[in-house]
Amino acid sequence: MTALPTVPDPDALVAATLACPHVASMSGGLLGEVATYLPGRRVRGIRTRPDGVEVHVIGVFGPSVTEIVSQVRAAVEPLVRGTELTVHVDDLAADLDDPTTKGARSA
Amino acid sequence: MSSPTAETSSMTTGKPSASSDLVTSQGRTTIADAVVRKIAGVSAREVSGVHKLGTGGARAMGALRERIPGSSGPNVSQGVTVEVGERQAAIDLDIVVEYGVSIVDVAASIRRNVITSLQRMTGLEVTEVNVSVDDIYIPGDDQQEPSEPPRVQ
Repeated sequence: MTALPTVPDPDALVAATLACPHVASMSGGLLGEVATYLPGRRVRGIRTRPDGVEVHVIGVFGPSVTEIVSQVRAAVEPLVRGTELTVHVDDLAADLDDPTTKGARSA
Repeated sequence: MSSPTAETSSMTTGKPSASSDLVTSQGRTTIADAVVRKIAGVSAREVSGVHKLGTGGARAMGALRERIPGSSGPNVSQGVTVEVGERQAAIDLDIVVEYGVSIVDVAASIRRNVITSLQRMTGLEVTEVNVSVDDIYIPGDDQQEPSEPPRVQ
């Protein structure tokens, strides 16, 4: 019997990623092609390949990309159990009407 | 092996039951090609990013057939070719994907869904699922939708 490899639950990965304060939202890439294609729906921002898991996020404006990535990595790494994890910061959410991001920009 | 706990755990982990369940000393269970075709067709269609199944000619014939009154509606096994043996099955799929999806990831997802569904429902071991992408669907080039409002109320 062909045994299918077990893959991490994409919804759990999204929940863990979005719980990070440095993450504004998940990113679907340029065309929205970065996703897990499930029956009936797709989970944006998570791509599971045989050689590893990719997490694509849009970070908040302020912290450095290194800080964003290390926060996501710390949250997601326990869920992928040993498979290679790649964290992409596709964009930064700079909300110019939000005083906190303005403050972060001038700081 | 036949204890209820073993059965449940094999269902939850997605591991299929042993393929030899189809061929026993008390008799054989045979599964027709049409059954495998339908299961493969439905489970491939379910995957997000798949627009339609079938090659160009089959899709045109399908569109014609759907318009004939009294026809049984869309053919779920359109675009599916199977080879079924006593214990194993091989699947070939012709699909049309949506614009903007990652074809590699959609194909991998189709493979996973088709294999899981077939092995759970029929107990057949799926040796291969070949996906051939025949076309890409661009939203808006559907001739079915009327662009003008109806002239009469």
